[in-house]
Amino acid sequence: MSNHAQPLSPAPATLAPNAPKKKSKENSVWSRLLKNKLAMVGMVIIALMVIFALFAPLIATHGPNDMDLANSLSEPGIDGHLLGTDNYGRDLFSRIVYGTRISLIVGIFAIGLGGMIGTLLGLLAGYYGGKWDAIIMRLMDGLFAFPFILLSISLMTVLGAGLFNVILAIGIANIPGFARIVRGQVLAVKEEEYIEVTRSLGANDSRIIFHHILPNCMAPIIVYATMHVAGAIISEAALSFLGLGVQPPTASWGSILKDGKDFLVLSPHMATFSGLAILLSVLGFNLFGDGLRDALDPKMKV
Amino acid sequence: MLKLIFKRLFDLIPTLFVVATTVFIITRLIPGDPAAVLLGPQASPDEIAKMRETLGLNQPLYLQYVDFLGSLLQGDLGTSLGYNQPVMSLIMERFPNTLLLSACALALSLLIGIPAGIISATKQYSFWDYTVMILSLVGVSMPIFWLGVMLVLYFSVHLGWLPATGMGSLSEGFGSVVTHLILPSIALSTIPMATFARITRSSMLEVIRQDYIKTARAKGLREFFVVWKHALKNAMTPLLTVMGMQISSMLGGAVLTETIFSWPGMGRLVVDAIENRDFVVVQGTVLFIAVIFVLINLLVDILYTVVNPRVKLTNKGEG
Repeated sequence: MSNHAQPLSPAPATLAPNAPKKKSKENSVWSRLLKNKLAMVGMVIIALMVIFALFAPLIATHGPNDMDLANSLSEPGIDGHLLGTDNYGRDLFSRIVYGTRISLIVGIFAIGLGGMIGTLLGLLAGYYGGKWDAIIMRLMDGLFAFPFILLSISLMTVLGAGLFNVILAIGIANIPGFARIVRGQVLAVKEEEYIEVTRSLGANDSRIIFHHILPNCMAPIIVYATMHVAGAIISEAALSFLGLGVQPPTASWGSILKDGKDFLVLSPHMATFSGLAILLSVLGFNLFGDGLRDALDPKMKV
Repeated sequence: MLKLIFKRLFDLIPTLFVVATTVFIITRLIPGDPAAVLLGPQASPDEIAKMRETLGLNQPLYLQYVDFLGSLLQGDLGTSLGYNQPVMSLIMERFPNTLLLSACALALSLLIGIPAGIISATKQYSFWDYTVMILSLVGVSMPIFWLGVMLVLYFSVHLGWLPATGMGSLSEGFGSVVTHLILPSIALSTIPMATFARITRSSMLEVIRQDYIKTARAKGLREFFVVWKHALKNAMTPLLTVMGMQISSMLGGAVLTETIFSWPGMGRLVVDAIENRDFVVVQGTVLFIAVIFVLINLLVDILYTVVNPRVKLTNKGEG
């Protein structure tokens, strides 16, 4: 696992790096990533999730909300129900397949939202410093002072249950993390010589920030985002488990687990399989994120 | 040192201010009239109006805010109408329970996580190394609310060895509390345990390759002393940072763990209060947990400088 080549330098040495060089850098990151077996396991899990989410109607053997009360709580493998049925006789396998959609949607959009706002705030705080930095970072410290899940729970009570609100709550809770990472990165990049040169050539602030500083902050942002998709998936499941997330009858792994808990003695398969789905997907994103970090820069502190 | 601690305490003021304001805004944004919710659907408009006055909801928002901050400074978190008790006393009844659970989980995670990481590092690429690494990878990805449910399924439902819910009581003997404590502690300790194992392994690997360790070995010191005394001491710094983060997130994890095991702590208090729409309790408890969270981080920062005197206590916001 430790056969990494030298880490990427944080910034290109020249103002306009020539294209072939950039390409070879990307290639070496890829080849390092491809050599990392655990990262590949992660990538396969993520790929499977994407396939499940995109082709859910083709993969699922039943409709996710089709009830068959006569066959409720049946065990795995009976009557064409691969993983058994739930308390309403709905096919568990199909519900878990459809649940992948919710997990992926929340994971991607919540992190996208938190990532965009957090990155923007981090860029502003790091680049302008002074008053901007003080105000933004104190706000972020304040948000950071809440345990993540508690902040999401509190926001959900305000927003009310539902998929969009879950994304919003988890997204907001993710803002301070991104802001901190990006700010730290900007502080380092900002002092680089080529930024000075760009400025003296007459580039304005927004050009410097978005064309020169942001691209050099991307590596840690991507790694942080990948790992936090895992966190967002767990948070969604936790919120749905507490009854604050996606509402019935929508299939979400957390809500299946919640129902499964009530039928633990009669039908332990409900809780077991929905939880395994959460565990596997989180593991997938963690493994891939770990590998990505090692491939981009083993010394990166994310 | 003392001066720096005071400085950091002083620096906390804006953070705590933001925390208090956020909690105020969140609770004021909660949809529905708290007075009407409290009184239930049968309440007459007159009663609701009276309740609004009792709760101070008739005042303009900025006055409510000033009142809120004023009471906070006096340690007053308001009175829960649901429990008919001051929120602070509700919290104080349950905080020790959360503390007990978190302390046990932390002890468990340190006692298993650190030695596992050390074994992994000293026997790199061995069977034990791979076992520890795979288990810890699964551990950091564990949805603890699911693990909790699975522990109940096997140890309570199937085997009947351990109680599934509650806390037991000292009047039934010390053993009653201990048996109730085992499953929730395991659930809550999983993620920190796995994280400690990973961090200990990676920082030990870094330290073990350094010259002074080679010197210690060359001097003929026994391997046990080299590893546990010399190497571990220097591998502690990254461990401490992570420990701070893990203790803080344990407070969040406690919310879920306590819900599954019906453990009578702060987390359970919040979740119950949300279900019963008792917003004074939600507000007070969330605020209390956030303050504890901030104080733990400060404590870790201070410990960090004690262990590693080269680090100055000034790099705020980077920790």
